[in-house]
This record gives sequence, structure tokens and C-alpha cells, in this order.
Amino acid sequence: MIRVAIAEDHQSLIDGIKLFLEQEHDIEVVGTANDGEALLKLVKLKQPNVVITDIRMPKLDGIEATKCIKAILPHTQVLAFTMYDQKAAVKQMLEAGVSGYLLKNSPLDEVVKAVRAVYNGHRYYDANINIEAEDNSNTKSKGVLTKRQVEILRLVAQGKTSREIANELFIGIHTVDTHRKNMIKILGLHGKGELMRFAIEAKYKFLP
Amino acid sequence: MAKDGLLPAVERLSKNASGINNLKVEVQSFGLDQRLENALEIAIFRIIQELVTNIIKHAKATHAIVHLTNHDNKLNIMIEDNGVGFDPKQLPKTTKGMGLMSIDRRVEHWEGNLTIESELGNGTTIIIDIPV
Ligand SMILES: Nc1ncnc2c1ncn2[C@@H]1O[C@H](COP(=O)(O)OP(=O)(O)OP(=O)(O)O)[C@@H](O)[C@H]1O
Ligand SMILES: [Mg+2]
Repeated sequence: MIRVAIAEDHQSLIDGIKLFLEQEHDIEVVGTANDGEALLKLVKLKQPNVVITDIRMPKLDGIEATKCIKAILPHTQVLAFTMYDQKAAVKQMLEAGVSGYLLKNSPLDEVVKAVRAVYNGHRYYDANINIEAEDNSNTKSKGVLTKRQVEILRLVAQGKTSREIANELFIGIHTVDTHRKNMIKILGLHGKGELMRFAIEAKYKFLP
Repeated sequence: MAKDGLLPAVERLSKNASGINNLKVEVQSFGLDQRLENALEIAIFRIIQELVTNIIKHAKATHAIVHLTNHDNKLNIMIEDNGVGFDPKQLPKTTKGMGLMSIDRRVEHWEGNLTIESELGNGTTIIIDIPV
């Protein structure tokens, strides 16, 4: 059973998500809160597996709340619930330790997907909001991929097929395909198309 | 191993193998925070141990990377080295090759599959997928 807590200052939004999540046999909503302080109390009391939290909230914002949650319950996974215009705040949420973020206007089954993903130890980044693309500091992603993976990504961005990449790098095609699949997993992407898009958007980072 | 799990054991192995014959072994892992079935963890560790031993014995490599990537329903293990490489097609004909052949059998036992991609002069990659 995945035990979920939700924090949002709009009760109607909470109600909608709660109703939807509770139709899933493996998900239980253990409590909801309308501000950061109430969220912390709730988390201490119920120790949920997953917390979905707004960023801007009264009393204590989602960033501070996330830091506290990760400090007291490091195994609780936090998902940031955000609007299109909050990229800077989402970055701060990532630094505070969230495992993913999703847009408030995502379809509800995306919410379910995100909850399951972070519960299983994966990251979940809503494909409709690209934080990395604007991140010039590029500190977090450094070292996540190996040199070879970055080489492959650079060629993916050029639209090359696995066979072409294999020939160019003097490695096997199965090696290339496996790296592509692994990178999709490691970067929290969904499918080849998203890897291609990530590669193109991140292209400037690969320049020497 | 039984206590710490697969990942710390592989990291220890890579540390111990680093420095031998100028070799550096690194580990890239993803999604391994949850433990696998104990027998499977031990089997996987032994396989990685033999593959790293092969690199030390045969590859003359300076760099090797052990990738462990959890894809929810399967674990992908990929070991790359930048050594001398060999012709995998020659394998079954040699009288040697007990190592790789027996690894292949063990992977099959766990209903996984193994691919060897190697070429003389261009290093070796061993790729194993095992359902978890
Ligand atoms: N990483 C590698 N780089 C270069 N050659 C390799 C590598 N791995 C295996 N080989 C070649 O493949 C052959 C077969 O390897 P395998 O592990 O099956 O047998 P072995 O290491 O020779 O003997 P054993 O493992 O039984 O001690 C090796 O003899 C070697 O020529
Ligand atoms: Mg051997």
C-alpha cells in the first residue's frame, strides 16, 4: 500500500486528487493539509511513503517543508506540484530533495504514475516543464552519465541511428541500444522520443 | 554481501580491482536501493566478479565500467572495458572459455540473456539482462 499525503492551499484541488487516488487499490491518502506547517505535523504523525506538495503555501512553503521532511524521514518521497511559471522554485524544490515534479493541470492519471514512480525509487519529471533546459549551472546532472553515454547522447541529438552511432564510436549496436535504454531510465524520461528531445535541449552542454 | 547487498559488494570489488595492472574500475548504478532476492544477488555478484577477473586477466584495459540499471522488471548489467578486445565468434571453439560459457548458462538459468560485443582493438562490452 502506498500511503500518500497531499498539501495544497486550494482544497478543491486536494479533493479532486484524493478522490482519484483512492480509486487505486494500492494507494491510500492518509491525510491532507492546506499549509506547510500542517503538512509537517501530518507527515510526522502518519509517516506517508509519498508526499505531493504545492510550492507556494501559507506559513511554510513547499521548499522548506521538503527540507524538513527529507531530514526527519529520508525515505519519504516528495513530489512537487507546480505551475508552468515556477521553474526557479522547482529547481529549489529539487535541491531540497524532491524526487520529481508535475504540473497542476496534468491529467490525474499522470499523478498516479508519478506517485508510483517515486514510491519505487524513481524520479518523475513532468515532460511538459523542462527545468534542465534552462539550467546553465548544470551542477546536478554532471557525473550522472558516463563519458560514453554523453558521446552517445551527442550523436542522438544529431538524429543518428544506433547503428550509425555504433559505427562512429567503434562499439556494438546492442551496447548503444542498452545505453539509450539505461539513460532513459536514469534521466527519468519516457521513451526514445523524450531522450532525443533531452539530447537536443542539452546539446550546448556537450560542446567542449 | 548477504548483509550489505549487491551494490556495496560490487563497489568494493571495483575498488579492489582498481590499481591492478593500471586498471581503473568504476560503477554506475541506478535504482538499486531495494534488495533483490538473496540467491539472485549472490549469482549476479559472482558473474560480475568473473567478468572483472577476465578484464584483469585478458583485456590490458585501463578503464572499465560496471553499469547496474534497474528497469523495474529487469536488471541490466553492462560491463565495458577499453582493452584489447577479442573475437566472440571464436569462443565456443576454444577449449577454454569455461568462464563465459558457464556465465551464459547461469544467466539462462535466471531466464536472462547475455550478449558479448567485442572487437580486436576496440574493447569489450558484456551485456546481461535478468528479470527481477
Ligand atoms: N574483457 C576481455 N577482454 C579481452 N579478452 C577477453 C575478455 N574476456 C574474455 N576474453 C577472451 O575470451 C576468452 C574466454 O574467456 P573465459 O572467461 O570464458 O575463459 P578464461 O578467462 O580464459 O578462463 P577461465 O575463466 O575459465 O579462467 C579468454 O581466454 C580471452 O581470450
Ligand atoms: Mg575467465
